[in-house]
Amino acid sequence: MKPFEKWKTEEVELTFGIDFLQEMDGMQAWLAHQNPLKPEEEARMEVLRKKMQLFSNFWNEEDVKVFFVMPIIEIVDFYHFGKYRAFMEATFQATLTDVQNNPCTLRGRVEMVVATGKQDPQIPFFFLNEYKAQRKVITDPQGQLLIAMLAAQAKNNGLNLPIYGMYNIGQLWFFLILVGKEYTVSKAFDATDAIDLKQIINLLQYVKAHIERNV
Amino acid sequence: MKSFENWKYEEVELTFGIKQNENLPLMIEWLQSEEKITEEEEKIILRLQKRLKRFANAWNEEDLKVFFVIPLIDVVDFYEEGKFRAFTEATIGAELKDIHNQEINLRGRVELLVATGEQDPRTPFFFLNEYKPQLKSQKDPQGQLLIAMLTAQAKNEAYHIPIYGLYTIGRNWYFVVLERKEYAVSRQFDATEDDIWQIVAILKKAKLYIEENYAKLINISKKQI
Repeated sequence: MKPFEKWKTEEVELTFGIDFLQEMDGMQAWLAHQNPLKPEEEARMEVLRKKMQLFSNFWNEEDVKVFFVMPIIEIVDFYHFGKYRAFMEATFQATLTDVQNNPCTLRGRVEMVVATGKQDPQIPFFFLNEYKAQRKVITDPQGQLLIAMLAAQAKNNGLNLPIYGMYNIGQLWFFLILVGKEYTVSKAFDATDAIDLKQIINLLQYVKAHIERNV
Repeated sequence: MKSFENWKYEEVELTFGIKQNENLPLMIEWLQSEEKITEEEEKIILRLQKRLKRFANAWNEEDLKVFFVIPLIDVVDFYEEGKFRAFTEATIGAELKDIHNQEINLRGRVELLVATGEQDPRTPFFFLNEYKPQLKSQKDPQGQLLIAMLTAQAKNEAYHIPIYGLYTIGRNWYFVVLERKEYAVSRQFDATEDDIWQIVAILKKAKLYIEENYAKLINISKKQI
C-alpha cells in the first residue's frame, strides 16, 4: 500500500476524479474571517514571529515544529475534553472508490489531525503537515495532504462535512479545503509577516469554530 | 558505535568510572530553587496540567512531548539571542577515555539540548529526553541521559562546567546533574500534582545556571585569546 507521502497532487486528482478550483465559496468564507486577537494572543504571536525571523535559517524541521508551528497552533488550542483534540503522528485508513470504481484502501500517517476521540482519531476535521524549507522535491506536500483529506472524507462518509487542511514549507503556510470532489488552495501566507501571521491564526480559529459547531 | 539509547546507567558508571552521589551539593542546591512564577505563567501551567491529567493515558509519546513537555519547557524559554538556545533532535559527539585509558568515540542524538550556537549545538549545558510510561525494559532513560551528558562534558573539555539534564517518563520528571566524575538523580516529580510548581522553579534555576556558565565560558575564552 502506498503511504500518504508518496502521493502527488495530479495523481490524487486523476485516481479519484477530484478537481482543483481556483475559487470556492468555502475558501472565500474562510479567508474572509476576521477576528481581532486578544492582547495576550497578539503578544505571544509577536514573540513567536520574532523567533521565527531570527532562527528560520538555522532551525531543523523538528525545531520549526516544536518552537514555532505548534506554539502557534496552541494559541488556538484544539483541545476540547470529551469532544475532540489534536492528535500527533496519527495513523488512519479508509477505503475509497477510484474513477474505475475499484476499491482502493488508503492508510497513512499525518503529522497532526484534529478529530473527535480521546485515544484515537474518530471523525477527522483538520490536518496539518510541516516541512523543512530546503526540502528536496521528491515529495509533494500538497498531494500528501490531499490524499489524507480524501481518506478522511471517506472515513466520515455520510457526514458531508468539508475537510480542512494546512501545510507549511518553512515560513510559508498554505490552507486547503476539500468539499465533495472539489478542492482549492489558499495563497501562501508568510509567517514572519505580522499581518499574514494574524490571518493564519484567524484561519485556524475559523476551523476551531467549525469543529465546535459540528461535534 | 553503540547509540546513546543502548547505554545502561551501570554500564556508563563502570566504563567511565563515574559514581552516583546522593548528596551531591549541586543537586541539593538546584532542587532548593525558589524562583518566582508570574501570574501569567501560572495560568499557562495550570492549563497544561489540566490537560496532562485528562490525557496522560491517551497520549502517544509525540502528543506528550508537543502538548505538555515542550510547552512547559517553553514557560522558561531556553532562548537567549546570541548566547544559547534549545535544539531539538540534536546530534552530538566526542571522544572519551574509559577507565583503561582507551579512547571511545561516542555519538548520539538527544531530544532537546540547550547549548551555545545558532545552527549547531557547540557547548552543551542542559539535556532533556522524554519517554512514554509504557517504557520497554531494554531502554534505560537514566543511562541514555548520562552517556549524553558525559559526551557533553568531554566536548566541553576546556570548561569544567557541570552538565544539567532531565528525563521524563509519562507524568514523572527526574533531574540529573553531572559534575566531573560524580552525578546525582533527583526524586521523581509528578507533574499532575503540586510538584509541577517545583518543576518549573527547577527549570528556571537551570536557565540561571546556564546564564552563569555561559558568562564563565566567555571569560575563559577571552583569557585563552
